[in-house]
Amino acid sequence: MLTLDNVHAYYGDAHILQGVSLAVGAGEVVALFGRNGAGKTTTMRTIMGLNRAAPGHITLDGTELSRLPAHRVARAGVGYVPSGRRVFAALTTGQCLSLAAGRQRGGWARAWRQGGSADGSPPAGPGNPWTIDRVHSIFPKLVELADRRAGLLSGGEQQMLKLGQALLRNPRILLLDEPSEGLAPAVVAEMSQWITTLRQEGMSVLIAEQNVRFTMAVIDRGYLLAKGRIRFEAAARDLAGSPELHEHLAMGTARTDLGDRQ
Amino acid sequence: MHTDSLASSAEHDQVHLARPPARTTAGTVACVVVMGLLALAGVVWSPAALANLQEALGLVLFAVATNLLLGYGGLVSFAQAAFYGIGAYGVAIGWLHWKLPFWLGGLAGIAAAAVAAVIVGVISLRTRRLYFALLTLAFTQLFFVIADNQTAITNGATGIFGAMVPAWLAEPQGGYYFTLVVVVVVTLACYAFVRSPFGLTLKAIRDNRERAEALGVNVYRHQLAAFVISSIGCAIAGFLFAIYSQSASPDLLSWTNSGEPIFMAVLGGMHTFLGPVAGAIVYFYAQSYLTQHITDWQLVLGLLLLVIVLFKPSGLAGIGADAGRAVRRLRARTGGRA
Repeated sequence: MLTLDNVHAYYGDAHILQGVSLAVGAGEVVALFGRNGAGKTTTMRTIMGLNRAAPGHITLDGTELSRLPAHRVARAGVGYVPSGRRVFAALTTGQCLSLAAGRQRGGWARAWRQGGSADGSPPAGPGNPWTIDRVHSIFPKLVELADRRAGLLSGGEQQMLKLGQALLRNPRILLLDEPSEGLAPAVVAEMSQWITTLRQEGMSVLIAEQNVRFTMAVIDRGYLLAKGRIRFEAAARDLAGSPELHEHLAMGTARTDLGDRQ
Repeated sequence: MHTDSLASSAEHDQVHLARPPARTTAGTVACVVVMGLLALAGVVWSPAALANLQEALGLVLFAVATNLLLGYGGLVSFAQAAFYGIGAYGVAIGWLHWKLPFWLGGLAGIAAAAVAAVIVGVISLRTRRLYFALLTLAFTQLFFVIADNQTAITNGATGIFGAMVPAWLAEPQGGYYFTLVVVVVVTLACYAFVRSPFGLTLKAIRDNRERAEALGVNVYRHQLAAFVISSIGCAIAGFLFAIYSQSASPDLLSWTNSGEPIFMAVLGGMHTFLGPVAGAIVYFYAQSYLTQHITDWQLVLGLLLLVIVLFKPSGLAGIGADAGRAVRRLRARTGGRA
């Protein structure tokens, strides 16, 4: 479904991604492990078109994404939940959701989306498009918060909101960047519930994380990213006992709340 | 389940009470009262006072239209004076060369400003922040030079003067009511614009451009549309200036003139819709008062801006909101005792 083939990326002169190749299959939940500075966020941003892949190829069901601007990548079916408190602070929660939902009703935007899936690939989910009501049904708390400014929400509430916004775009694949970052343990447990729910719905997900314990329970496969390269790839059950993974993330797991500052 | 929904609806109500609705009703009442007073002013005020108010109203529109970009779009444009000037020149040039009726010249000027805004926007919005501001400044300078040099069309530095509007509009009362109606209608249109999904998207882009892009928003197209809409508003303000002053001259397009609506918007509070309205009124009357009494009046206004930016970035609107909160608190306290 989503494929990265030898993707490189730079910040100025810094060579951050040095040939990343990975794949996420339909309905698969895949983790991208790595320490701070390993290039996880850069990988997400590059898939999303917020950084340019130079060189390299990123495809979604055969559609080349690597030369598209971010809004076209989003319309092609990639949903992005960035890390940290990146919400539209001045808008209310309800406005944030209707903004995300409204984007898919636009005539030409919809035409483009339909064109994008004309190759016969099924839309994400069991043919049940995401609506604000459906987002409210999995995140009832967002109903109460409808009139509150997004900037005033707690970390967990902002994660709900960002996830809800991404779902309202009816993506074919979701990118979650450090979903557990800065969250209280109880909220992290909820987050893993939400991901499990999405997985049961057949959503494809790529999660960038350094919190192994949280992630291991929800994924099918994982990659380890170190210094801009994929170090190895393994199924979840093989990863769990991998000494190399734990050695690499030992520091990271102890400091999940510090955030990824690359 | 039942108790759950009850609890949540109670919380919902609380959120409601703590948030805008109460203020919005008070705001609506205040707006209606102010409009009533403005309508009354046309009958009871002296012609000289009306002429002043007419000029101030034009500036209100200039500030509101500029603030669509500044406050809602987060875009600092120094080109708004160019569109203001083009709006004024539409009436003046139409009258001078083709004896067009003022409204036809006005429409042509506003249309010309829209076309100019598309050109300026298409190029300037390719860049961000400082570079965007600098490009708009360069374009304004270009338009200024055209107005200054193309003597055959614009009369050059002398400008165009004359009876370019019908007699009833040159009368203080006629001109005032016409201006009042245009300003109210266009300001309401701007309000509808910022409340629309499009306006919300614009705010979202201001808050976090990349998040908006990642949600599928074509940022460039949205900003371009906002730029053109703001510029049309500025051109209408320029059109009103031509009616008021029966003139158009190159200094209207001077880039320093673009600073005025920005000053007014910041003074009034650029993150509220009505802030720039208050800012324009206060700026206009403070300026006319200060110019009569102090030679270095710009120094005073400059200091005022400095104080606002440093200590009260929410401007007069922020001070008003604080006062409203204080009154409500006081009322709640006395109500508690009674």
